[in-house]
Amino acid sequence: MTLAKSTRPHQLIVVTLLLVSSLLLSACAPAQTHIITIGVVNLAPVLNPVFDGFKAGMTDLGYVEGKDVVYVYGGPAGTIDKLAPIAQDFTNRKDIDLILSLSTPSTQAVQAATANTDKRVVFAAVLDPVAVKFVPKLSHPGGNMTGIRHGSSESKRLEWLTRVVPNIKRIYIPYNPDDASAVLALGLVRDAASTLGIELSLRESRNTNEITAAINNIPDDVDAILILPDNLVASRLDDLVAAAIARKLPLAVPNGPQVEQGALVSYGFNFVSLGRQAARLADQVLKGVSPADIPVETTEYFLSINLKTAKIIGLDIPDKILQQADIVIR
Amino acid sequence: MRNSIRSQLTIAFIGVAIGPLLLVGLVLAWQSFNVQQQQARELESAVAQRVSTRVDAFMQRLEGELLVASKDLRYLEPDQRVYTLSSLPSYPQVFQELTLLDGDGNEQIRLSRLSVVTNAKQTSHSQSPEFTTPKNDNKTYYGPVQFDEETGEPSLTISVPMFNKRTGQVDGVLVGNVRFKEIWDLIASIHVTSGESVYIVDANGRVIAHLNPSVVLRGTHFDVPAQDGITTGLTKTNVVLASSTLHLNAQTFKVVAEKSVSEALALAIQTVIITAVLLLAAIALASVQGFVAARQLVRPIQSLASTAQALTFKTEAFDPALLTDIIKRDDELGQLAKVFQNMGVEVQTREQNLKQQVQELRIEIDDAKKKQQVAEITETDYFRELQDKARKLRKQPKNESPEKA
Repeated sequence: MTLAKSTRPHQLIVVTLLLVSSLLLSACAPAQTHIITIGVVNLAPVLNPVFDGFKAGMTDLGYVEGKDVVYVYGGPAGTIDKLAPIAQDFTNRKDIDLILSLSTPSTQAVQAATANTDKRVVFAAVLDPVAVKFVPKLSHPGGNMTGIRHGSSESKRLEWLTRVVPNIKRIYIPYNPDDASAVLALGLVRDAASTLGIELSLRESRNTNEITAAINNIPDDVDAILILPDNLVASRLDDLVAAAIARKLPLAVPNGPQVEQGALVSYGFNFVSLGRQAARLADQVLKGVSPADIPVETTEYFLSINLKTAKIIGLDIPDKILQQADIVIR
Repeated sequence: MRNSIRSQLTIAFIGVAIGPLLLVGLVLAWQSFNVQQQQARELESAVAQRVSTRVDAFMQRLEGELLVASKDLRYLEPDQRVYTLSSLPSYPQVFQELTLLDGDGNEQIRLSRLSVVTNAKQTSHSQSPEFTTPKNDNKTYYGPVQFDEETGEPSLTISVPMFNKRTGQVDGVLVGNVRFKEIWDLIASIHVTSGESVYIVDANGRVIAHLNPSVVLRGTHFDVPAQDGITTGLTKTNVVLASSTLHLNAQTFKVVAEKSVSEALALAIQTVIITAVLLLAAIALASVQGFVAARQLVRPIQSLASTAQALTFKTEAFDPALLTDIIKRDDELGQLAKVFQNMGVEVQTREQNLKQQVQELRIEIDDAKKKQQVAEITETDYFRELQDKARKLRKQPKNESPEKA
């Protein structure tokens, strides 16, 4: 009665229509979107293609750079000691939704910085995350990090090298003993070499000077050179390729793109596809799945052979081997 | 007043306005929901069937590769056998291991995608079903799905018998260990819409292939319901689910396609929401309209009632002008008010006339009463005696004093 006395009928209709309209509009209104920020920790330039693959994978999954996602990446750290401050900065920053760490040393720095925090981490280009205690189990990471491992293709790579170059007896391996991936890979290569009856000539190289010396002093009695997943050594790949070609030695490398740079053979992961694979895990994490519940995945392996290099060093690769190669550089 | 005309009219108005709309809305929504549900089920069933057919064809192709290779292997030198096996199109990306067994189940050759195999590592398979089944039953063997302890990746063994044409006996078996990665890629290549997923479950209920490899690697289990329809899906949400059974000799798999109910029945849900919103809007408008209409109907009646009440108790209180607004209405209430106003005015006029007449009658009665009273006084003996005495006094001489008289 009070309403009827105080309000005109047409006002009631207008108010009702406004209420109904506002209800409909509020139901249809789009939710505000949050721009995701991903911090990238990388040790060496050689892994930049992994980041490129990651960004491409994210784009395929619908994350438009600049609109849906922003990457904070100041380039490769260069040396291991510079990784910790970057990892700590990303951990402290509230706007960083996810950290992408590339390589084992990068992930070690990130693991130390994010310990006892809820910062989520996706790693890539890590040889064995269980051995370096990033995760307790591949199928159930259980912590704040998950990612892609590139697994144990080292022994098989050595076998492929012996099949491509059948008479190999002694292999030269320069490596950085401070790089956990390199150390782990060396263990696998040692086992395979023992099985295949091959001797290893090891050369520790902890810094640029030492790696330069290792490249300039390749022993005379070796039949081939093998590079482990080792960022320091990989950063001098051009010099190693030049030295191998000069000595007409076969050079086996961990990744296909390094074969494109002039190495003879590789059996291992592909940087770009590795990045894409990591993007798929990052997508799950960003959608709310805990890294603890996302199993660590293993990369695919590809056999790459560079026929141009083979020709330069005077090596005839049989068709039966060539036929099995996934990538052939002609 | 719950039983007031206004309340009754308002409720009746809303009922009349909303009733048919509600009925039509409910029927439409129900029909739309049923049709959509049926279509969604058929769609998911078609997807599951399609994937099942493709996986079956894929496995048949792998079996075919092994069968073709097995025909020539016996006539080749060991080195050529290795080359033939390593040249199989599906090695090493699909067949992660290829093993050639002799007639006693001993390894002759083993190729591995991941590990270095030497003669010292070659073992006997004489008691394993991948050897005994092709050897004894002369047919292809499909093993159960096995999972890598370290990575959780599933794989399956296919083995085919190698027949000696001269004796007709099985004198060797070719074994291939199949990775599911290619089947994952096959599922990934299936175009799925938003909220839809396709996966394969083995006989133990473990998911062995999914668009998202994490689901497989973490060892997810799912009991596929016997009936297709709306049920709880792999992600514990309500889905429209359909499955297709895939038989690979003794092994049975279920290919499942599911789509979230919210996506699969989006149109039906939208219809229900729109109907509900329209109903709410209609109820709101009908309430306002009903209220206004009831008020327009009841207020004149209230005015008439109060005016009638006033007329009942005191005709002077009746004010015809109060009905002027109602009289302006061009409806029955206007007519009623006009008649009532005329009646009221007439009643008022008559009462005034009657009062006037009563007044006049009262005056006449008073005159007659006075005359009667006078008459009653003048007719008494005492008054007559006084009249006589007065008359006598008037006849006496003017100089005589009354005492003398």
